[in-house]
Amino acid sequence: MIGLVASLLAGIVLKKWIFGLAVIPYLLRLRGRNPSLIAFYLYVLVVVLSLPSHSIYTHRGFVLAVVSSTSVFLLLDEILGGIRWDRTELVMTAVLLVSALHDYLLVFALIGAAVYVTHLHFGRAVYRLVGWLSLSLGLLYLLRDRLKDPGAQTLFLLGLGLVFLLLAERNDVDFLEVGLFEEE
Amino acid sequence: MRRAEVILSLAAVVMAAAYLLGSPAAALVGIALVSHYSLARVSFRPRLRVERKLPERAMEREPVKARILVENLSEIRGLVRIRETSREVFSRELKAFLRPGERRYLEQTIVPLARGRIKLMAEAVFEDGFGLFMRRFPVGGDSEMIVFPSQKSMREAMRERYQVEALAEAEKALGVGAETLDFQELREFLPGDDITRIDWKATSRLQKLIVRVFKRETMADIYLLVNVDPPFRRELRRGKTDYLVLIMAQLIAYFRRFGHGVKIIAYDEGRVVNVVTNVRDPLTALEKLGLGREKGLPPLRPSWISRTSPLGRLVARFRGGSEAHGIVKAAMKVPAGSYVLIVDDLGLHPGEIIKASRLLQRKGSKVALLYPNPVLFVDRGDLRPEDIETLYPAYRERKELMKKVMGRVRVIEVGPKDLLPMVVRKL
Repeated sequence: MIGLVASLLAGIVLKKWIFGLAVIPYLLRLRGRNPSLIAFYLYVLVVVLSLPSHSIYTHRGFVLAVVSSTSVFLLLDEILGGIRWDRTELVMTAVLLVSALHDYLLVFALIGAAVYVTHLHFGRAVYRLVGWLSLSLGLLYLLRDRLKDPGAQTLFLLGLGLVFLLLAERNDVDFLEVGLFEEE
Repeated sequence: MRRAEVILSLAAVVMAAAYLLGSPAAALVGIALVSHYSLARVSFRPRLRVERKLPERAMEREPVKARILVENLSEIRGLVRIRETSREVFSRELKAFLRPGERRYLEQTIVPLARGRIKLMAEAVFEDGFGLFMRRFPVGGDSEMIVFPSQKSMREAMRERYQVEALAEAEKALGVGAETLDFQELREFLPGDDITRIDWKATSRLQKLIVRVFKRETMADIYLLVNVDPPFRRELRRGKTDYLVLIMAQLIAYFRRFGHGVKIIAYDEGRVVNVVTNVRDPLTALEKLGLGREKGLPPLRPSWISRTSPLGRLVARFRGGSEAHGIVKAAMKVPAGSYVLIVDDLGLHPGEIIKASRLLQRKGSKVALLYPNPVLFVDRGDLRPEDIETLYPAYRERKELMKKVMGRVRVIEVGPKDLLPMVVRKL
């Protein structure tokens, strides 16, 4: 439920109704994982194409980047992991709703929610996320004079993001293959 | 569809779009997707313990329950699927969702489709909670099960079994003394008689089964070639019952009743032991044959149809004066154009039996083999499950051998049920 609430709050805070489309993959999740993932695919493409290009060093750009990315992260987690209605979920939803009163409060609440969900589902791997966040913020702060152009910031962030893939490749796994319309 | 690849491709598209649009926010969305995938992959280190306990014995096509212990030793939650890969059993896939450290007992229903000692192979697949990755694990514990034929299948097989009336069939196989349409007499029903010949009026009048007997065209002599070798005697001498004596007595009585002359040629491995001509009654004939008792275990597994080895031929020459087997020597004593019934175990020397049959057929004689299957003569009262495991392969091998030989010589398989049932029951 956090993923849906985060997306709806992102839409309200950023004043973009397109985030409201998160309801579609969320509802499809009740039917199955695959249809929901396909709807999520289209949702993310639409959201990305609607995002304006603002510098991350501005208030508007920072809030836009963090709120949109964390809401997508939480929605993806919900779509793959399944919809839950337990006590923790309700408490976190309430915290997110309260934090929506202020932009920065919502930013920190969303980051906190993402870290908590990561800890809940991935265990000790949360340290990697926290480490990456700290490293990225530190580097962005240090390079604030050199990365004034949003294009440069994008390229720098993409470079940092690919570090995750390098880490992931160290663990050898088999991909699970399922039928598109397979029932769960 | 691989969900992990869907997410990766979406991330790639988003990142490309972010680069082209120069949007840091879009880049972070792409990173969010990649990070979720990467964290799921990094944390996917499943450790699973699966042990299955099978019942030792089962019945064919009758479901049995197996107990499976599944323990998730990893730090991630996931779905465990356990599926049977052996084609000798049928079993539905089992699923269980396990939290980190959770241990659970599952019950698996297995339906054996084959008989004998069957090998089961199962595999467990652990899928992560997001449905992205998987890993296969072996299923430990028991892997073998003994499956007996079910009572139902045995009943069906018995229903299908053609009720062999050995003596009538032997007569039919030889084609001796074809009946005419001229009525000869009414007499009491004997085992081996054709049931269509029962005279129901006479039966109801006398309260006994009475059959009509018709006159026969010829009353030819029957030659009984009997193996009196110790291994064959061991097979048919069980406890108090000497089945060879019973078979011989029954054959002599049967053919004599129809007016045939009976001559017996007894042989062993290397020579002709005895020749009894003008057999009048079974008791005298059996006395002349002097069938003694042989101790020891019978050979249940059959020999192969193959030529005798040089060493075997040398031993045969030393023992019998020539390389020829006793049955071949006995066959040579039979005049041309006779009716010959060989009483021998097909499994002891199938090659020699075929050789003797060919020899007789070449001489224009009609030949049939009366084959007392020793597996059928095993005492059922003392049977243990372990004995069945050794008897069953022997029985199957003997059946296969019989199928091979059937094209060359007419084989009539005999079991205790084909002998006088009342006499056998009394003994």
